[in-house]
Amino acid sequence: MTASSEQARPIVEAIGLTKDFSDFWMRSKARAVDGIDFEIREREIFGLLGPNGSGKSTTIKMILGLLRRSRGKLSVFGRDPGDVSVKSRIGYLPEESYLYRFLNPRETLEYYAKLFGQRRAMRRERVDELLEMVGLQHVAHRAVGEFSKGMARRLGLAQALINDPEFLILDEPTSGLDPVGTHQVKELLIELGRRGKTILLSSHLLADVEDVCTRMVILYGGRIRAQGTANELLSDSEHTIIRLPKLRTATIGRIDELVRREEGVAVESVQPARQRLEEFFMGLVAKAQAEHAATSGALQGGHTARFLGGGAELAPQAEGRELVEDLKRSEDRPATPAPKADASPTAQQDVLAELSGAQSTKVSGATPAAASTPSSTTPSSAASASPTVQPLPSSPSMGSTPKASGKDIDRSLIEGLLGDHDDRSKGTKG
Amino acid sequence: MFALRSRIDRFAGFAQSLRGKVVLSIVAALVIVGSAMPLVVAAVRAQDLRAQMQTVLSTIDLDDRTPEGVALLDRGELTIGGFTYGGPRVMAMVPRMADAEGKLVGVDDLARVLVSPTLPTWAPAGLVQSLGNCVSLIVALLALALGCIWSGLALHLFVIAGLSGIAGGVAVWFGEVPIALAIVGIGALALSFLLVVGVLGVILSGASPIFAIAATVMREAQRQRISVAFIGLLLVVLPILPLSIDPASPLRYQIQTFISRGCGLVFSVASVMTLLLACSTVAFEMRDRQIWQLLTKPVSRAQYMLGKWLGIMAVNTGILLVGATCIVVYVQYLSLRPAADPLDARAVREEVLVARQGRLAEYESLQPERLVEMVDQAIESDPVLKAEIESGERDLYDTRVKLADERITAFGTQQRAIPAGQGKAFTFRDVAVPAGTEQVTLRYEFHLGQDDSHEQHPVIFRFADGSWVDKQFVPVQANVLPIPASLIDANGDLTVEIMSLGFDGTNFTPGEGTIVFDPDGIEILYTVGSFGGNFARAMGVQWTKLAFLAMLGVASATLLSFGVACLLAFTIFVAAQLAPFIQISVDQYRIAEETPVVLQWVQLGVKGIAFTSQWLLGAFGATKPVDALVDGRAIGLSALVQSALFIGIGWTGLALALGWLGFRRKELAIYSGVG
Repeated sequence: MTASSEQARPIVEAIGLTKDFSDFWMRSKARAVDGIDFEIREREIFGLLGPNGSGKSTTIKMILGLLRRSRGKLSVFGRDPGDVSVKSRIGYLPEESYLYRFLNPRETLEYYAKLFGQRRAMRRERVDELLEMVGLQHVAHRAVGEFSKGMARRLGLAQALINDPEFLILDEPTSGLDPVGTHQVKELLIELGRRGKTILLSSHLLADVEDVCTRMVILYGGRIRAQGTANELLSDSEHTIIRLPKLRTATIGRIDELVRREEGVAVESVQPARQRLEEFFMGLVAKAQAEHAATSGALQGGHTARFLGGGAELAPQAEGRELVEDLKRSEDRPATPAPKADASPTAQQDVLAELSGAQSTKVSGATPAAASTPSSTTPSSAASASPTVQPLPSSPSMGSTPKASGKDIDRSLIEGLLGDHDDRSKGTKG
Repeated sequence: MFALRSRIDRFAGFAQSLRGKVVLSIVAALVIVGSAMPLVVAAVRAQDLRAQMQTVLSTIDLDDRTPEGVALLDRGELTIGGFTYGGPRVMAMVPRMADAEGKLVGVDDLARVLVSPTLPTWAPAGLVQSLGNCVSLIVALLALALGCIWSGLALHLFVIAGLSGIAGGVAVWFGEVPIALAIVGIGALALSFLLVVGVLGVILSGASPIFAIAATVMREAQRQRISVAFIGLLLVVLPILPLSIDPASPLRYQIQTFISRGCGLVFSVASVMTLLLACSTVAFEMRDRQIWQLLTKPVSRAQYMLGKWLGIMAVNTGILLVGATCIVVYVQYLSLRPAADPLDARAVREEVLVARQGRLAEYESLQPERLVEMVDQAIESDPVLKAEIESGERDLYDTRVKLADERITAFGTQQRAIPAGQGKAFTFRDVAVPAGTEQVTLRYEFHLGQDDSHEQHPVIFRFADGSWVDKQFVPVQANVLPIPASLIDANGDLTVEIMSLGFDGTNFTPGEGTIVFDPDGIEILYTVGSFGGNFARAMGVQWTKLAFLAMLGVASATLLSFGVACLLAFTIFVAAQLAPFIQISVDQYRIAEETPVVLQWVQLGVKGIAFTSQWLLGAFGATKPVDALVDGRAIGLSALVQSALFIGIGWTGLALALGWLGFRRKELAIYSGVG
């Protein structure tokens, strides 16, 4: 990103936002949101977390104008949420896909496109692209009432994007989707974030939020309990995790002695590396697809639709040392998969040296570093060794890196990105 | 099944291509023209034969006792080209079809009756008797088929036409031509409806929120059970309706019955469907939360309501268009059937399939001073009444009102009472007949004695130029008398003297009692337009009523649940329909003095509610275009404009405004948390 989040203008501003629900006799029944203050800035992916009944959906509905605030201030694009003109810049996916059962996907998307006043040619093009993107082109003429929940959810996502919104609000976007679909949605969100969209993501699935969100807010009982970036909230400054290939027991012992001698602390734990279930699953699916195994399930989605661009400059792709430098310089980049670090020993040593020079670390319990390290890692959060460094993409053999990784990204997507980058009017190079 | 489905898909794909459309168009044209050819041949033969008969009949003078005249009068037979036509039925008709000079009138009708036994039984008589109708039918079927093919409904055309053709063919095989016609009619009606709705869908395909919502409502109406059931009911029952009409009854009654039942069915079904669809499309969207995804788009609440209303009215337009076309076509077909007699034929031509304006007689009104004088006199002349008033036992005001009512009624009755042997003149003002009008009709409905409908009584009508005519009338039945338009004076006034007298050919005799009639018991009627134009205006009025109902349903459902919205909307609809009856009831409603006070207050409340509803909704129920159509009365353009302004714009706008005021502040989401 070219501008830091703090310099970006706020899309949503809430000050002392409160919502009370009353019964028929106007007696206060419940206070769903209690004086919360937050801001959603341009081009960030903002997470809204909390258990059931914490006020997430109520907050979203107030932003959308479906509910009126009881007290406080709330503005969207500088205007009241009830202002109709604001809604042309917003895309919304509710927690359930409330679609018309008697329409087919094409009719559904055409309908919503017309609500934005889109002309026929534009509508047709966008509908085709979106149907392909969400993998529903082969059922474009089947009634939505016959869809599974996952298919309906995909269509719901497509309708949220029909107007190429600046601000996308997603309430449980991966609900009802299989792991493949979930993965694709997360990739899509990352991609959209990279294209400059502002996204508000509400989800129970903490890993999903952690993977994609720039900043997040955690609600409980209608109040904000924590707010900040993933790094700010999740960094464990008391530990360091170093990832290494498999070591002999003797070597591990010598490392322990070194650490005791140099730092006066002992290695707390040594565990074999483990990849995330999602990565393993995606690897299996990719392999099966490569073998053209038959399936009666939904088709995989296609490329991100071309018209979904926010005009934002994308982060330059980098590799190896350049990547590390870039990662260190970047402060609030989303949890996007950075290119794989150079696997050469020299590069690895350089990286390790820099990291070990930055701060004290403990070989256990902390988040994985941005280069290949001894394999004593744990599947934990996505923070890298420096507070702002994002983890490298991982392969199933590299151990656990919780984020959606560049290695797992469909190559065609990257090629598409590169192609998009070349085609973009601003000439941003991919 | 899969193979069939795949073939259907292939056919559908072929039908969508340009080549497919051209091929199917040619095939459809060949099938339609080929199937209709025998009908055309039969019509041409019937037309030729009828022309020959008309030529011969127009030269016959029954008084000359020519062989043709004798054969016609004595046996009801006519010989053309060596073939003899006619029989006892014609013999019974002939005496009534001759004028005073013995010349035959209604030659065309007589020829039709003579030709009808020669027509093929497999063909509808109304089509075979008119080549023009055959050609019109072929053109209409071609237009329908081509319209379906080129608008993407080829598969529907194939299925519906195929099924109805097969079923109709089976009916014809068993000799049930009317049933075959009904079955084919169902198919044609269904296809027409799909075509009309398709065209309306194209019109509403613009990129605007209102049009988009309207188009989706139309799709909903075609795909959701609630509306499909009503539309299907209409499309099936309307073509079957003619089967319920007695073909032996006079033709005017057949036509009037069909118009009444057909229009009533269309409006009733459309009204109920409108209310249910309007309530469901909004209430269910709120319940099922599609409205969340909709109103988070740049769509205002007013646009939402207007879009819903427009979609429902588009469906109603389709229903009215198709239903009205079916009714008009069948009425025209019915009109070609042989009439029971010349009077019946004349009634169809001049009283049913026309648009007539009516003028009531002008009566003298009781002057207020005279009324007061009569009331005071009545009180003074009744010592008991006077004493009761003075003692406070009776209220003076109420008593005076009651006496005034009685005096006014008595005065009016006296105006319209003609004692035996006497006569009274009545003037009809502003009889503005169009230029070229030859005659007007005096409609009269009299009471006499016990009003025994088995008796006939004499009456004489005398006119301003001294001419007179004697008639026999049946009490409590509407009778008609043609009057030359030349009797209307330059001011547009027509004066008729009605005398309770009889004429036995030589002498005048007093009537058998006092002739009495209601204020609208005598009326002058004259033609001001055609049936087609009148029918179109009637449908226009119906459309404005449906527009109000649609907005009533939408507005109700924005604030209420489906069930409560339906209850409210239907209550208002029923109250509006019954407003004229309620008005009469309110006028005649009296609270008995001996009723307990609490009950009196309840009755007063009920009366107040009834009065308010009929005052608010009276115009809705008072506007009865179908009744006017059945009576052959004109629905003027001013009536249409008035209906459009008050009901279509005024009431509909009011419902929209009230609904929007509540809807704009309504929170669409609900509390979904704990506690």
